[in-house]
Amino acid sequence: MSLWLTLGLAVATAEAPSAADQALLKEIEAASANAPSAATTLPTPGNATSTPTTSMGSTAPSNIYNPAMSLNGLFLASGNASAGHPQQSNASLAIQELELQFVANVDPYFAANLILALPNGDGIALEEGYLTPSAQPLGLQARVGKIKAPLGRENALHTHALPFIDKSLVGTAMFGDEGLAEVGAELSYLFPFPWYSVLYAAVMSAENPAVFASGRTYDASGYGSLRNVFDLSDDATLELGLSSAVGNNAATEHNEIYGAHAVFKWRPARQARERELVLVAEGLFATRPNLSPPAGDKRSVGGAYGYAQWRLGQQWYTAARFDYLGFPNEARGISRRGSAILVFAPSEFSSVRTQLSAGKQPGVQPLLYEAFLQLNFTLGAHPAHAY
Amino acid sequence: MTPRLLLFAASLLLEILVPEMAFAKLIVVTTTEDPAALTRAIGGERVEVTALAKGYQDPHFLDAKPSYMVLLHKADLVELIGLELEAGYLGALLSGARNDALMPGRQGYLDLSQTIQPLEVANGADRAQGDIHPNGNPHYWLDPENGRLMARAIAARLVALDPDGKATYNGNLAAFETALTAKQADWEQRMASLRGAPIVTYHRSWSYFAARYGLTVVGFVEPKPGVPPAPMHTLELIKLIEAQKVKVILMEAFYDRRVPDLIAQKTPVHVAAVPNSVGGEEQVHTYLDLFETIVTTLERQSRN
Repeated sequence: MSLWLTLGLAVATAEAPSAADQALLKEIEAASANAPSAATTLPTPGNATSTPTTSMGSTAPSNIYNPAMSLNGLFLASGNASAGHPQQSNASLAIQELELQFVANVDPYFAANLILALPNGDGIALEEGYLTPSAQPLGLQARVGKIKAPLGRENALHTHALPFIDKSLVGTAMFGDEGLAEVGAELSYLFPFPWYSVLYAAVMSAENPAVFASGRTYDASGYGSLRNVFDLSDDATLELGLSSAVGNNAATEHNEIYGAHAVFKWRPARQARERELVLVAEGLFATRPNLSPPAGDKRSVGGAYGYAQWRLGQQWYTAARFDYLGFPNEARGISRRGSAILVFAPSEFSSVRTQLSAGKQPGVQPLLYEAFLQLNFTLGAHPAHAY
Repeated sequence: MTPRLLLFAASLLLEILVPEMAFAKLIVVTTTEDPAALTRAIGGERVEVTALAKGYQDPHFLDAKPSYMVLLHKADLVELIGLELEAGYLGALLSGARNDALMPGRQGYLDLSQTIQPLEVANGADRAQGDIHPNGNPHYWLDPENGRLMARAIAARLVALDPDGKATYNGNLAAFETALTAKQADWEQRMASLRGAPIVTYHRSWSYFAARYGLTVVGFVEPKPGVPPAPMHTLELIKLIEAQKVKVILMEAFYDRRVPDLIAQKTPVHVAAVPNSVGGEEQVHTYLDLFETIVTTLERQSRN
C-alpha cells in the first residue's frame, strides 16, 4: 500500500508532500475502501472530454455504418511443476488470445455478430459468426451460422469471459479447448412463464474433433437445452439448466452428451459494486467421447466442477474451484484439480488475474502445480455479457 | 382433487399461459424509477409500470437479469434514459425479450434523452477519462424542467399507443405540469440563497440540477467518472474545499460515505447524501417528492 502511495505522490508532484499531508494521506487510505489509483488530477467540472477527429471532407467514404467493434486481449504468463520432479517444470510468457468482435444490423431484416480469434496472437479463426433475423415472433428467435452451443454454463463463454483462466477439466474433455461451436441453425423459444425459461434446439455440422468428427460429410449433429432463471428476491437468482447433444464421434459411433447446471447469484442492489456471491455447479456425461486412450467398451465418461466466487470490493474478487473427471468408469482414471483465483479489475475493461492450481492426473502419482498471471483488457464497444 | 383445488390450478394455469388476458392496461417498463413515476402520474389507472433499476440502486451497474427480459417480453412500451446510461445491459435485454414492438424506431421504444437538451456533449470518447458519456450527461432528470419535457413526451407516446385514453393522459399531464410549476417556484425561492455557491459532488451526476439552481460544481469525489476515490485526489480535494470555502458535498445515497465523511471531518464541509431517483428513500414516492427531499436536505446542510 505504501508503495502505491509513494508512486502516486511521485507522479503527482515534483516536490515531496509535507509531513502533515503524509499523515492525512494515510488516514484517507485507511478510510478508502479501494486500492489507490494512479489518477491524481482534479477533473474540470462541466468540461467534457474531447478527442480530436479527422475530417476527410465530404467525398470521403462514411464510417457511420461501421459495426460496433471491440478487441479483447489476453496476455498470459504461466508455469507448472510436478511435485518430486522439479526438472519437469515449465514456464512461458505468451499472447494467449486476441479476439475481435463486430456487431451490427445488416439491414431491417437481419443482425450480424462476428467473432474472430487470434490464438497466440497469430492466425485468424472464426470463433463465432451468425445472423439473427430481426423479427422475433411468438417468443421465437433464430440464429444461423457458426454458433457456440449454449450447452450448460461454460461452453458458450468466450475465453476472456471465463471465470478462471483455464476451462474446467470436464468441459475441455467433452468439447475441446475451443468448446462446441459448429455451423448450423438454432431456434429458441421463450416460454410465457412468470420466470425466464428458454428452450434451444439446433441442427449443426459435425466437425468438432473432440466430439462429433465422424469424417462423413453427410453426418450432422444437434443439441437441445433448457435454461430457467428464477428471481429468489431482488438480490438473488437461481438458474437451473439441462442440456443434451447428439452426433457421431470420430469412430462414427453414436455419441450422446448430457449436462445439468445450477447457478446461484446474490448481488445486493444497494451494494451492487461492492458485494456479490456466485455459486456454480455443472456436470457433463458422454456415452462415446473422443477421449484417449479409449478404455475398451467402457468408454462413457463424466465429470463435474463447482466454484464459488466472492466480490471483495469494487475492484477485487476471488474464487475457488474444484474439478473432477472420471465418473462413472473409474478404470479410465480419475482427474482431480483444485484452483484459486484472485482478480484485480480496475474497471470493467481491464483486469489482472492470478491463479494457482493443484491437480492429480490418472496414472501419475505426484501432484501437478500450475500458476498463471493473466492481463485481460477490452478495447471498443464490447456488447454486454450474458447474465 | 377438490373443486377448490381444481379452480386454483385452472386460475394459475391461466395466469401463467395468458397473462395478457388478465390486463387491459398498457404495460410499460422503464429502465429507472423517474420515468416510471412520471408515467404513473400521467397514465393513472390505464397503465401498469415497472422500473428495472430501483431508486436506491446505482443505474450504471445493473445486471441484465433474465427476469427483466420476461417483463420486456410482455411490455407495450419501454422508456429509457438514453445517452449510454443503459449501454451495459439494455441491448442484451431487448435482444433476449423477443418483442418486436420494443425495437428502436418503433412506437414501443421511447428514448427520453431525445426530448431534452443534453449537457457536456463531447466530440469523441476516450476511456482514459473514465466512464464518460460522449453524447451528453445522462442525469438530466435531475432538472425539474427536463422532467416536464419527459412528462410531455411520455404523454404523447401513451396517447399514440392508447388513443382511447387521450383525455385521461392529457388531463393528468396538465395537472402534473400545474403542480410542477407551483413546486418549482417554491424550490427556486428556497435555493436562492445557494445561488453561485461552490459545491462538490461525488459523481458527475448533478450538472443539470446545478445548472437549474445556479450552483457551481468545483470538484468531484471521484477522480474520474466511475473511478473510486484515490488518496492523492482526495488530498487535493480537501485543499480545494478549503480554498474555495465549499459548504456541501452533494452525493447519491448509494455511494460509499467513508471518504466524503472523512473530508467532512477535515474541513467545514457538510455531506448531503440524497436520493437521486424516486424510490431512493422510503418517503420519495413521486417525481415532486424527489426534488422536495433534495432541496430540503440542501437547505438544512447549508444552514449548518
